[in-house]
Amino acid sequence: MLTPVNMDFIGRLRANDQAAWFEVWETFGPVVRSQLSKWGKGRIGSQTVQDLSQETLAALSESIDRFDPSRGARFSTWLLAIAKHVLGDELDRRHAQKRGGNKRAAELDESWMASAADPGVDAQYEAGVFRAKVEAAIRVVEKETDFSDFAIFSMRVLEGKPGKEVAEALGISEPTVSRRLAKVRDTLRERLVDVVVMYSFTQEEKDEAARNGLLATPKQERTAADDALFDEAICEIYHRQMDLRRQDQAARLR
Amino acid sequence: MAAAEILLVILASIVGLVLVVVLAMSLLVPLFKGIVFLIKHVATFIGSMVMDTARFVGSVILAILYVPLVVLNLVIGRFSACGHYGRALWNELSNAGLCLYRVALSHPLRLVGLHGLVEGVERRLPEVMANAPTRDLPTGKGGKFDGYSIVGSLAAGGSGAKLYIAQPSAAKFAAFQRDGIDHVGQVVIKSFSLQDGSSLPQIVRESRSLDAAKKLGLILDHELTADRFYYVMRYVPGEPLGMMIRRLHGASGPGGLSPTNLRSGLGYVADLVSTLSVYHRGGLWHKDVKPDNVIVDASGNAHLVDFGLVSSLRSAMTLTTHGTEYFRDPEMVRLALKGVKVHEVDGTRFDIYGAGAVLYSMVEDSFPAHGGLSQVTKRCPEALKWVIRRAMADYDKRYPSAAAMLADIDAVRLAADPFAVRPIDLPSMKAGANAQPQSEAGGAANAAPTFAAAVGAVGASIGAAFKNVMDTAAAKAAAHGPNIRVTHWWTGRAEVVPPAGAPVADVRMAGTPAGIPPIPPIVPAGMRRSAEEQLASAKAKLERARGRVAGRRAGWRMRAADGKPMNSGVGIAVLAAVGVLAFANVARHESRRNHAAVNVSQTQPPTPPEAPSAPATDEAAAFETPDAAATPAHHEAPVSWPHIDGTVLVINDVLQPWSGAADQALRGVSSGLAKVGVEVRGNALPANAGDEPKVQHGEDDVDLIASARLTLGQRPVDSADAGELMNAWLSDHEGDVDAVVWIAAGAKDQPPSVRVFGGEHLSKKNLGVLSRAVGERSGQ
Repeated sequence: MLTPVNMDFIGRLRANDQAAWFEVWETFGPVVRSQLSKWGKGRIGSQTVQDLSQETLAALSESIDRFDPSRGARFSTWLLAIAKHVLGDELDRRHAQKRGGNKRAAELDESWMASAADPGVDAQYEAGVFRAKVEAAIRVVEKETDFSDFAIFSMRVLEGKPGKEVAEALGISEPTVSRRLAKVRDTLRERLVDVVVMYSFTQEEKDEAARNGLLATPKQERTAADDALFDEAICEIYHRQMDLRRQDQAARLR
Repeated sequence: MAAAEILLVILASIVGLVLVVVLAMSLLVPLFKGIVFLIKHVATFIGSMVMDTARFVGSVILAILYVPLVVLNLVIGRFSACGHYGRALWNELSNAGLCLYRVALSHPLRLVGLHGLVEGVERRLPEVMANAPTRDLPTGKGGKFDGYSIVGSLAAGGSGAKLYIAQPSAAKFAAFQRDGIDHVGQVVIKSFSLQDGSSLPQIVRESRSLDAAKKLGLILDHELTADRFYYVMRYVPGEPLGMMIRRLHGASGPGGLSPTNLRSGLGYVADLVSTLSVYHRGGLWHKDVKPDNVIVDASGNAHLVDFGLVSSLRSAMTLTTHGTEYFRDPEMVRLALKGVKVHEVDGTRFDIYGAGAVLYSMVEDSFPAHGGLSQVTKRCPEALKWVIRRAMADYDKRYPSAAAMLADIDAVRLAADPFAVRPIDLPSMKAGANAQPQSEAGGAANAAPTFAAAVGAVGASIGAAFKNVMDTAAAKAAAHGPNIRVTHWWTGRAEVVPPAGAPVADVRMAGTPAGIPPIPPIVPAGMRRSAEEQLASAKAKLERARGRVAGRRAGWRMRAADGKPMNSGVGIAVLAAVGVLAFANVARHESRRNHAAVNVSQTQPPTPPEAPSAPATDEAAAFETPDAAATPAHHEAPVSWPHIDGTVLVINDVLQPWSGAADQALRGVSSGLAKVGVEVRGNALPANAGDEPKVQHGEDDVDLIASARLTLGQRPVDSADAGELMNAWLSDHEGDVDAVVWIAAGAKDQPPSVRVFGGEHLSKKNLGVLSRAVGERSGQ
């Protein structure tokens, strides 16, 4: 069942809110493009995949009206189905233009929803979508927290610098580093839940955080080991996501 | 004994065995690793060779298939199809060439460990070729420019324009010198022509940005015709920063920039940020900061070029998503998609993001694919990473000004050992992470030595003159720039945060004696009206003045004809009062000649609009000084306001939703305008029933407002030189607008400030009446 937040999200997409589509495409664009390229196996050129911009996706906003949450589609497959549909539509349009028959592009139909139920995606794609959610949560935290605090988090967790080194660089004590890091970590835990719920349609998707070592343990029960595990998981996800973005960048510039 | 010997032998054997095992392990493991590596290496080589050979064959086959299609379409005259197949043929041949290069050179060299010899050649070579100048001497009408001889050309950028290097004629040189532009050598002509494939929107966009670039004195000349638009800039010979970055990295090795090369690179970025500071203090932003728009000359100075997107920071236009991916702040795109106006955000911060992205690409030799979260993987001082992080941080957390960023870069660049500088040693950290390290005026003083270097060929003379303008305008620019604060992280709901501290009356540069008025801005070449236009304007003014005099005479005659003789005592009193006031007025206006805007605000506390107590007194008050106008009037009954025949442009900077105080003030302005009966254009105001002014809806109101905002730049409306600038603007728009009522947002919970600017053709009397009617006031 959709949460109100999700309804808000879908509502914005339905209203053809360009900013919402931009947000979705900024967050999930690289992983979707990567999957489409993989599916294409050379049949779809990288240029065609790159042409799938958020504007193209936004053009499909009418299709959202036919979204039926009761069919149990995952957010990740739903997203990919839309992208796949856009790609197919785009290819049809190009072929029609090439034939010169002034044929209309393939009409949008309900088949995209059927495609959404198709579990034709691999675990790698699912993991990529989850990583994108974590990245989105990190960005939200970057917006919400103090610049210096986030810089400490970035140096300590994302770059893996020792606390002593961070403290020396910033001219503060190690306990201060730990305290400010804990503040950002707590915010990230909260936002992670929000973002994962935001971009999830099924309970299984919502539980992904726990499966990936990002379980939101109650604050009172949290130990130093929990924090270390959390940091480690975030660091790994961040680096993998960065690799994906680099590959995406390389493909776009090719 | 024997047992001891046996034990010794056993121990020795064990130790020996352990040693042998350890030795074997230390030798065998690397050996096996080496063998595995070799096998993998050779297998990779074979695989790559096979794959590239197959690709080569495939490309050649396809290319052969395309050839007859190209020829056939050429023969039957289907040129579009011919071009299409020709491009496909070219792609296949390029692919085949690339495969051949890899098979013949790249893979074998990689196999023997010498791939560094040809590292990235396949990328670098085409890039250099793509940047090579195109045909030097253009043909046809599109390539002819009066007063210029084309001597070369530059590679076209993404804007669809043609770029020519040209030599101005002697007459042009003379014209430049007459306009005070010296040291002009060769110039670059950027030409947009419909015939050459440019689109009308491109031409319109570029011509709009022209006004802004002119303010910086960067545009020397321009021409707009029905099918072509071109403008002329100084030519800065050199290489794009992107190419310089690759060269620096090539010389430093794969680990990152060496200290020497890092210092060189930081010098380029410092020049860039310094130039951005100049732009921002001039009320403009560049909007397309990227390595390819930075040219490094032979002396090692970097110059920011391409003014295609330069805009006024106070433009009324909606933000657009133009810019270059990876160097464009995603937040700007979000705000643009929400329909936010340029003047509602602080555009300087988007330029700062671009500068941070350039700094990142300088350190990494790559694009920041991860936005503000992009990780620096190559050798880089920790303090510099901090600068990148801060410049690319979230909109409201990044550097408050380019000057602040420049100070941090210089701290690293000029340190004896850049790698020893810690973030805590940076000036911005010493001043507090979120505090403005120094005022823009202070920044200007620091930036001055690098200013000439930054602007370089743009001319020190322009720099010196422009510095004055910028210093006056910029002292409070950053402080007054509006801020957007996101109030909900997902929906992206944002609110405009009013700048801390209300606008101040004087924006003079720190250190300038209070008695010396700010130097007015120079009018760059090409921006002045021609003598013919000025003459026509003067004649029109004269005609209007004659008309007004005739109208007054007619009025006097009509009153006389009514048979109501004027009371002689009252007449004498009025004449005496007018004489005394005129004397005082003349003395006062000697010191502020041509300054038509009546600025009541500096001496008068906010007052609601009030009606005159009696026509004679009102007329006197309208002519009178602000002090006289400020005297409380004791009037019991509302008296009709004199009618003003003219058109008033209303510019309202107060963003909705309006607070109670703002709403009341805006209704007061609206009511005042209705009372004096002027025609109103521009922004709509709330009005009470019966108080609605006569509203004129002109299609070009948006342009008028944008043009007025451009004129003021970042100056607060109640700044000292705003009156003079707006007076000049009104002269240029006479016939369209007779006066401007500018409503600026006040501090929190304070009513907005209202300022009235009147053109020369609006009598001072009417200007005074209008000012009182709308309740001109300061926001303080």
